[in-house]
Amino acid sequence: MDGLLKDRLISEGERIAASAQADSIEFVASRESSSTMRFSSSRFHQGISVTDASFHIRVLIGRKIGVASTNSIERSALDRCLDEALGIARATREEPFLLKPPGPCRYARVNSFFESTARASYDEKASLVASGFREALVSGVSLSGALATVVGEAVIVNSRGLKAYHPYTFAHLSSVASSGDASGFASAVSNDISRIDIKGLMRASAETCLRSSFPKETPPGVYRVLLEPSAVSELVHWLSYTGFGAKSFHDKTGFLSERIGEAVTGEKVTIYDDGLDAKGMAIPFDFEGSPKKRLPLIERGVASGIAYDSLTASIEGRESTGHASFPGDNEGPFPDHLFMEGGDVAAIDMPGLLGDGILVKSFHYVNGLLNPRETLMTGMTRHGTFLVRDGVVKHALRPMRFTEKVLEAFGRIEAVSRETAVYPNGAFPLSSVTVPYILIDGFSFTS
Amino acid sequence: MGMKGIFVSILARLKKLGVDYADIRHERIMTESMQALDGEVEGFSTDTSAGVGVRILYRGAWGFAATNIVTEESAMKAAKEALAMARAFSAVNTGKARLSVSEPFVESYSTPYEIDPFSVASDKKISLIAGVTGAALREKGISSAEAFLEFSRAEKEFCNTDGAFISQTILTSGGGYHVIAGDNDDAQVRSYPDGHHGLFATRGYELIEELDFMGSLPRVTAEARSLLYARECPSGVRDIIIDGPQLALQIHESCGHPAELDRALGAELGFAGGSFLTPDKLGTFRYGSPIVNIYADPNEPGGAGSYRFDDEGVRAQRVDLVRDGVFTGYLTSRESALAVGGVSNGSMRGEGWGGLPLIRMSNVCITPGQGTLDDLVSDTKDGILMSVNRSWSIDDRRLNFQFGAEIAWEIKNGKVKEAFRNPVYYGSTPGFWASCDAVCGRSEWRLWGLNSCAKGEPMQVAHVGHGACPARFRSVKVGVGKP
Repeated sequence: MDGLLKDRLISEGERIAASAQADSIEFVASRESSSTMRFSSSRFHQGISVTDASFHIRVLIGRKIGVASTNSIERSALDRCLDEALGIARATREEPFLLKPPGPCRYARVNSFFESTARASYDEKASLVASGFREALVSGVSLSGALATVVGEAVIVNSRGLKAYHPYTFAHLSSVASSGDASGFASAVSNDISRIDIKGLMRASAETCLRSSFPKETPPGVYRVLLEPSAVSELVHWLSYTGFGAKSFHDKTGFLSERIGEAVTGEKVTIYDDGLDAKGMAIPFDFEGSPKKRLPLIERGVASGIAYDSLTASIEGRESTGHASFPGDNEGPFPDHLFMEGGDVAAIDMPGLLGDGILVKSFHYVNGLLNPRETLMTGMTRHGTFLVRDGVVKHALRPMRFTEKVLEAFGRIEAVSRETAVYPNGAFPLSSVTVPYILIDGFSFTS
Repeated sequence: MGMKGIFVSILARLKKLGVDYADIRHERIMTESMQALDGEVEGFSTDTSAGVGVRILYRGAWGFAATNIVTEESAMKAAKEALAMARAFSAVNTGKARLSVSEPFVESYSTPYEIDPFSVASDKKISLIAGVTGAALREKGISSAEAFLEFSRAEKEFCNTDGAFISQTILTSGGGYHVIAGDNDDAQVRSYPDGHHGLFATRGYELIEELDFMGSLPRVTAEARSLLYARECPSGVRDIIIDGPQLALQIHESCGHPAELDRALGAELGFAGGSFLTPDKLGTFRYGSPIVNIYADPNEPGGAGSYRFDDEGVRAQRVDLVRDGVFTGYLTSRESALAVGGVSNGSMRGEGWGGLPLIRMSNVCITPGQGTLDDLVSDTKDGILMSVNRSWSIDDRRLNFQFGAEIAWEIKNGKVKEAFRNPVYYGSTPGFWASCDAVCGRSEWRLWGLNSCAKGEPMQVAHVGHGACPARFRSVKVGVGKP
């Protein structure tokens, strides 16, 4: 990307928002340059560099809403985009509610832009990853994965006087080591690529792979499990997708519908969203410009909150919680900076507390749509499943399928680690899910 | 200078810089989408996205760069970016990528349609989706209803150093709706004509008119309502019949994805996984029973995954993936085809201008057999009929799967009996397809279309079609929805 365009983006936003043709105009802009260096069989096989932008314009004429978007920053394209949004607003029907975009806001100071990430060259990144390839060769494993970096900026301007700007960077390494039936996984995400120990993570994935060799079968059934953070992140992500957003709450498919204030899981479970917490991939505002703040979702097992944007909040007569996606995204708002609160046990002590059971490193292809009201989910274990006896790993297991009501299972949590780990959550770079290790007394494996 | 002139100029400069191969793709995609919720317009938006992507093979290493600024200067800058990445890879890689030969076509193509959806009055489209969701909400027991329409026109131009120049216009229409029957204890969804936002096809607005949303509504709402009082689908080993939309997803996950040769060669191991259909199995592996025949064909008229040339400039071709139950073919690219001693069958597609072309399903279809669904039900003594996908999960080699459907009905002595809710079935891919003993005939066969097939990093989403009809599978494990 040819540098950041803060002034130009804000200027274009102000020009569009100043148009007198609508009761309200919002300009939501995002520019990004991303590079993804994919590797397989310990060699780079795909390199993808994309520079793109999105300019969304949402207009209100009375109670009518029109949205149009373009990826061109040219003035003529933005003017056409505004005309399209106005045309849609004139052509569509009145909403039964009046959408209220936010006015001017004060934002917390969040630093998510790091020159180390923005300036990392292909040669530097390829050389770092290739040093991991050479180590893997000695270990007898093959490495696959990707090193991705993003440089971006977001601008929100609206006709109520709101103006918001935020630059950011993002770096993510995922490494899968494989050898025969065995595999291991490690990943890290940060705004600052210099904080990612690329070689160390690739080595960690290789070590797990080697421990996963010669897997044995174990019959389906209900087992005590120790889920590592990568596995927990999948479950919390699906909880968010199926139940923490306003749309599923409204249409009653969500597990929190009609249950706010009730105990929905065990007291050891606290899940919240906090876009300002630097441990996640922080951002000061959402894509309507509403400030980020902590939103309790489940507090000590009790259903506490739901994520709203201005649109869904207007429908329900509430205030936005700062979870708007781009205008026109019909999936509705979701928490995008999720945290599951850590506990008081050191992760290293958790296998001992498990005693006899199964240690799960990661899940694969989890699906939470079997019965979202009951948080019934299924998925496979992947990249390391181990049988534990008397607190010691005995041997690796073949991948197993779980089918489980997750909130019920969370009601059986015996221990939660102090340590947490952060993972990307969804497509937008500045979203994350941060979770601990958890020990559950009874988790159903069905095949 | 037109796009072709820009392409030729950039490719000539890249040749001077020593590239083994390069191609350029320019796309402009216009999208219109609208949604209605409970009788009100929930969203109505348009999007225009344009850009150019340059793919380079340099000393056996790949680089791809794309930009949203469509000028010669910007495209050349992207080309140099791709070259810089390829150079960095070539300095550390072992082994070199090579390409199989491909004829340099100079052609243009547009998908046919009857009614341009962009020319249809907005009010007509809004009335349709607001009308069907409003009518649904007036039905007893229905707590919410949502409807969708989406139309896109992708104008593409492709040029490569072999001399190809291809322009294509792909028009896609899609839509559907779902209703939710809900009370304080449960919420059950029924979708029409399929889950996953309905049905997509490379057709015009005539598709939406044929779908007849309003005509289907009484059945769909009645089924949703019935699920609130239905029994949970019982567990056990049963004969099952799965209907067209559900079989489409079964084909998608357990045949289409594993037959992608890049996946089988390990290109996706770092993300979604590999494939049990490894090259050593080609031509010999018993994938299913002898009545199972599955093919991929981008030329299938109206398919969501239809095109004439792929994004490597290779002509679209039909390929038999499974013939008489035996695994016989892969979806291939110019590079991967060399691994199985062949040339590309034209299966590379990128999402828009910014997506690196990957091997993607086009229209992966089962060959119809004989008879109607009624015939099949009559021929089933004790079984379960499952309809429309609700949940999907499969392991990283595409073997261990579990699928949930929106609704099921018990079949007793050749008759459809009571409805079951939350039906789920599971198994292992070859064993499941080996148990297939009946596939309905052409009259029950239909091209289903999805707009949400995900693959790669950064994740790309593709439209894919699946020709499918009801089929029967013997002795399948069902009903593990409640452990």
